[in-house]
Amino acid sequence: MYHGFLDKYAGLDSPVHRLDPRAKISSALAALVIVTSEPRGDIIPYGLYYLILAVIILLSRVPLDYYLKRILVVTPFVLAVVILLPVSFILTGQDIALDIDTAVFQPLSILLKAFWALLVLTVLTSTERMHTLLAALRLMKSPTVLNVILALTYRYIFILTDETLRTGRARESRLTGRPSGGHLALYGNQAALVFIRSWERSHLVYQAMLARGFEGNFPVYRKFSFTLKDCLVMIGFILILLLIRGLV
Amino acid sequence: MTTEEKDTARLLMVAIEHLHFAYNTGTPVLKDVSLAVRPGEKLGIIGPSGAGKSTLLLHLNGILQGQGVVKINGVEVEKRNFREIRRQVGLVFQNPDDQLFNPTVEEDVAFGPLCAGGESNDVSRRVTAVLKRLNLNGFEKKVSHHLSYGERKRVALATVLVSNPGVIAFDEPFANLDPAMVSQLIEIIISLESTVIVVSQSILPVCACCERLAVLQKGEIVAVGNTEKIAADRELLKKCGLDYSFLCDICRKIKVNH
Repeated sequence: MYHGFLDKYAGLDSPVHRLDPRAKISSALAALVIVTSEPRGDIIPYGLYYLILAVIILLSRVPLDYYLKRILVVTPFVLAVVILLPVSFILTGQDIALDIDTAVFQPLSILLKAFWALLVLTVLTSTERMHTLLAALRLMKSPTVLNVILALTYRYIFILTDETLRTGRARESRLTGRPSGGHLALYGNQAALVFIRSWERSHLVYQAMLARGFEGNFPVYRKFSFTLKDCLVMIGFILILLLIRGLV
Repeated sequence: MTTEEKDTARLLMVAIEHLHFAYNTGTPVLKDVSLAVRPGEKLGIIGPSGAGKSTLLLHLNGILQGQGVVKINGVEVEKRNFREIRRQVGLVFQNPDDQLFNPTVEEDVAFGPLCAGGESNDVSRRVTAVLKRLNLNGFEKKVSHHLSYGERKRVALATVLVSNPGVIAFDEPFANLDPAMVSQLIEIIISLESTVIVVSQSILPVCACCERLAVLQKGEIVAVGNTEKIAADRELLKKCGLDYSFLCDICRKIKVNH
């Protein structure tokens, strides 16, 4: 089965797509740190941050609804945090002043920071193929264990999806009426089956790795060229964010 | 061992002597298995499901270690020799999804040579050459899970051929392949210069590409001989659950109907 949802727009051609993946990863990390650590409750800096992000999103040529769908997925969770935060203060007996800052700007800044993080990561993952990002992370000396886990997850998530679909079909094809033990038990059995198969596969994959000389290090094969243009774009982007943040 | 026997042993590419193995359950899987394979020879190991064929293959490069001696090109398979042994022996697993664990084809094919300390440009040249040899040009940047089963099988073979090992061991290479792919794979196996060991239940394709057959049943080698002799021994094959005469009957029937 073909699953292309992860790299759906990675094949487009745009100035953002053409950037070296290491420049994109570094810029994204900087963007996350700078904006999520923004202490001001003022709305203006967020407006400027989002303006820059909007320009990048438009330049990336990735359809806007792709970003909106991702925002919709996390909105309930972010809203839950925003709503529950004052409640937690009250429950723990903390005094909260009911001014405009506490009532509006603080929850709004949480909301904006969460969406910022999501949008930045969506720009990063939609403008670069996942395997390229993983290779770039490896070149950037990211922790080997983390990288190997990500690489294997990316490689096998589709196989597990297929196995789940297949076992689901097998279940449906034999299901006539309500199963004994209810549907929940049935889904539980299916999840256990997929888990056992995953465990067996992990064993076989490790054997295959050993057979090909694996001794703990994942070698990097891909080569990238980090040009002056990549460097300037990355530094420029980070500098603008720092300027808005008031750190430069 | 006499001097003559020692000389013969030195000439062998694969020498398995009195190998015993049991998994944690304690049930013996391999019982006193002895086999000898000459350099460049193509040996088929046939046997029913659960006979211990795949387990035997995993002993060739030390993934499993039982009691007894396994030697590859005169080097004993033991922990201190693993690096050398794993350069010498390439295993092609039954399911390519177990073998292809890197995101892209080129990264997967390059994995073995890079682990062996290969220089990047040289590895790149070898990757290109082996993909071309298996008609996989243009597949370098493809993601393994987007390939068909047959293509993944060929990529799995490429991951082994790229290291140019002295011994290539195939575990059920013909399983789940369409007839055209089986025929193609037979041609590929015949064209290999390395020593080849093919483990399979599909007797006819094995007969087509191997000059010698060993029959493994319940962990024991019950017969070894040249392909014609073993394939003609219907009594033996029937006893081991490997009788393929029904296929001949089907062929005959179709011919009559046509």
